[in-house]
Amino acid sequence: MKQENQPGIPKTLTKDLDQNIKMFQGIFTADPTIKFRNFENHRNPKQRFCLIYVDGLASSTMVNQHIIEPILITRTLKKPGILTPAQDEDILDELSKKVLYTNEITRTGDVNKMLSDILSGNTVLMADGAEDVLMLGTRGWTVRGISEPEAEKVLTGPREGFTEAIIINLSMVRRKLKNPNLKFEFKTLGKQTKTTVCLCYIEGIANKKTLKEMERRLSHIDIDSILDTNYITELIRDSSWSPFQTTGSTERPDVVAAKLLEGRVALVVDGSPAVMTAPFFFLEYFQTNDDYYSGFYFGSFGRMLRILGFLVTTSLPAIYLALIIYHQELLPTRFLLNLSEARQGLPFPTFLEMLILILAFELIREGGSRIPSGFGQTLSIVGGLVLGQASVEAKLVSIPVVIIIAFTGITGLTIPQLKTPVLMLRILWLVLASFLGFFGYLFGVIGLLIHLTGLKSFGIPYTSSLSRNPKQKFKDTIIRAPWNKMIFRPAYVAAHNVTRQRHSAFDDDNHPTGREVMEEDGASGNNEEEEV
Amino acid sequence: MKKAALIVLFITMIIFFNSCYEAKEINDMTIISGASFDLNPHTGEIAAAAEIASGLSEEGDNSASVLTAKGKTIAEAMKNLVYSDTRETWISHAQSFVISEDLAISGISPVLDYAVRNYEARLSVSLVVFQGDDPAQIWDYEKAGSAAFKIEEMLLNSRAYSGAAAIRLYQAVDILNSQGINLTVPVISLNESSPVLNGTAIFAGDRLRGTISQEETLYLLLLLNRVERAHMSLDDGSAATEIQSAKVKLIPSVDDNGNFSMRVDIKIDGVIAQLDTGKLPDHSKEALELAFAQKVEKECMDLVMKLQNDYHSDAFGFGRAFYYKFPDEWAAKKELWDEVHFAELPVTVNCRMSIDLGESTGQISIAERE
Repeated sequence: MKQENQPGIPKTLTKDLDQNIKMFQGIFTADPTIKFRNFENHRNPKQRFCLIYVDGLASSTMVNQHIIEPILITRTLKKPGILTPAQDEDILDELSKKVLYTNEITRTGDVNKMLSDILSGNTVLMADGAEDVLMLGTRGWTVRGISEPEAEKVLTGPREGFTEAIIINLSMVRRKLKNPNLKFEFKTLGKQTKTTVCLCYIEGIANKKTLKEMERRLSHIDIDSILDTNYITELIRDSSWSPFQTTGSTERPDVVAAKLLEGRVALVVDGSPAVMTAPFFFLEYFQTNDDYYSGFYFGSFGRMLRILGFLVTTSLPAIYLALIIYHQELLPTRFLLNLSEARQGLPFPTFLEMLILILAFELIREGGSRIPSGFGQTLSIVGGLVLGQASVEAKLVSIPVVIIIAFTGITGLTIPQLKTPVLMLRILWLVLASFLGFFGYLFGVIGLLIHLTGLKSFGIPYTSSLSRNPKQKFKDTIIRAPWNKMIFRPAYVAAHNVTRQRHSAFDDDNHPTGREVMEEDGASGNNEEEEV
Repeated sequence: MKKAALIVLFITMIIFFNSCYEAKEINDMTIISGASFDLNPHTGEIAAAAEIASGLSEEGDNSASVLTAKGKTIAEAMKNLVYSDTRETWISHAQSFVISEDLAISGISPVLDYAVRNYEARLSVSLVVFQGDDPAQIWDYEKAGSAAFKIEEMLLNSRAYSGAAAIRLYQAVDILNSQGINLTVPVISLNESSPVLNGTAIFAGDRLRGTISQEETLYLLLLLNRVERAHMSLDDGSAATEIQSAKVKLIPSVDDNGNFSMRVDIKIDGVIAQLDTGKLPDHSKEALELAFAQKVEKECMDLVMKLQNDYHSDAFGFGRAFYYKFPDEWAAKKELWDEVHFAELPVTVNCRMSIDLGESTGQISIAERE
């Protein structure tokens, strides 16, 4: 991000402290949170200093005890000669070497740098007679504590989640991967917000093409503000109109660590607990970290349930409608008779009935997602029970449709990340089924398959998990294989270093060890696994 | 722009050129659960009656009502049913077709033809022949629920005791189109308020020749090799057996003069179900097996002779056995098979019975208990 020189702001300071203060006050007019603190050394009252910092961003303890106090009481400055104009360049040196207690001190003469440092929580120390300033690391604002993300809870396993502070988030990732190959690349995005973002990857594992592509796409971003990760997600996505995401999003450091270890790259954005990972594939929607923390039977079962849930929640209304209005002969006779009974005297056609109920369900869900939690119970009772029961008894909708839509809605919640495509597919397939019955529904399914196989995430096909993984086969797709069977990383993410385990500790089969396989393939892998 | 135009064109086509008009809400149709067909022999008019089942009542039973109509053909009579109801009749879920004896005597082909040509009707619908005056009674009598469902369940359950020669429409069509075997259809009659199984109707071609009793049905099924499980008692009531498995082998033979003869080997495994040692002094395994084997042989021979002499109908598929084994000799005789050659066919039935008496069955006797 280029620093743009705003008009009216000089590039450098003068030697006159008062003039400099006036200049800064001119820049920060009508902003009382910017504090200017003038003080002197008690032995040398002629040597004046000024601190500039933002109230609330800079830690008061740091400013008071580690900056003001040492300068006020220091005896070093009384030495004759220090204050002579010929040696005035040494005041700042002297301060940073012998007086100040802060760990992070940078010396600069660039006003733009000073401004961005002040605004990000650091303190600028100006001394009378010096054209340069010292920028002191005093960032210390209050942040939200580390807690479990609401949207990604687990039964067992780590419970910490990212916060809004990028440094804390990065430290959480670093704690998972005590490995010097874990690299952080900082960038600043957003002309107005000047948001810090950080690209994380493990050197030697990460796919270099993905990394380059990510850097290229980030460098093309030219927007005034980045307030959340989704701003970037939508700006750099492969297929801008698809409802399916081509980058992952998580609020959990353990998930980020696992994805980095599979060769993906992560993008941490300051101010948002959501971290973006790339590339992202269709099957990743169905993988949760719980699969890896609970047993592999339960993990595999859960994964199959989620796939079933996706199929049910998108298809059930369409299949039901097709059966009811086109293919009645496929229904069991007694079920049909009861349905016929239930539909007697209803005012709307089944299609309209289902559309209205889908809309009603989404309205209730939307209402519930942003209200205070105290209202939640009332909403579910009134919205779900009372409205559903009453509308059936008032002969507005039939019971089977209420059951179908309620079931559809509930199963839709098994994968919250898929909410957009699920809603679109549900309605689209319902409309197709209302026109053409099962044929319409099948056209919809075929269309979805064409769309999915045509998508790419950072140049890698979206369905690679199923089609391009010869070594891992289906071990981490529809099922989650036991850890001792998962010898390799997914090769489609990063092909040059795929060995996850050299020797499995309790290896009951004679499967080839990682090294043998790599030698057979003639692959030149790096040896970071042991360190990881 | 081109892409957008294509999408708009596609959506327009879906809306305007689709089969939407075939969509039907299920409450707009009358679901027929069973139909009966009767023929007035004097006027030749067909009377159709259809049972309309509806959802479960409070008692957990499907309630039902009846529609009736008349017409010159089956198709017309079925179409005329619409006039007595406000909604469109719909036959896809019919469970059973009930055919009156009068219609069966004149031939059941029209019913089969109608059902096969009508794409709505199911080929798996069960066929039964009604013994009584008016087959529409069968729907009337069952005010409490659906008679069509009851008939279907009865036919399904009859497999456990070999009580009915149940047949579905496609099987009937298949038999009518094959040679050397004749159609058999279960007979239903009314016992007070319920339909009951009452033997089997024997057809020659598509025309009814006569009926055999419920007991004879067991031996018909045995000769057709369709017995899975059944009960059988000796005539004097001294013993009963439960048949566990029965295997039948038809062994056709043609001698040098071109004369046909048929041997039927039957092998039955059973367990003893009841034994009255007072009536049966010799109740050894061998004696019991012999007694049952003789009974099976006699009953089978009686049935074969009844069909040979009275009905002139080869319902056992003896002709088919000759056709498979001696196709050339069969070709000469197939024209007059039922009337002449089957009636004169020498048939011998051999039965080998094996009865499991269990551990202590032989010792339990009235004398000992007293």
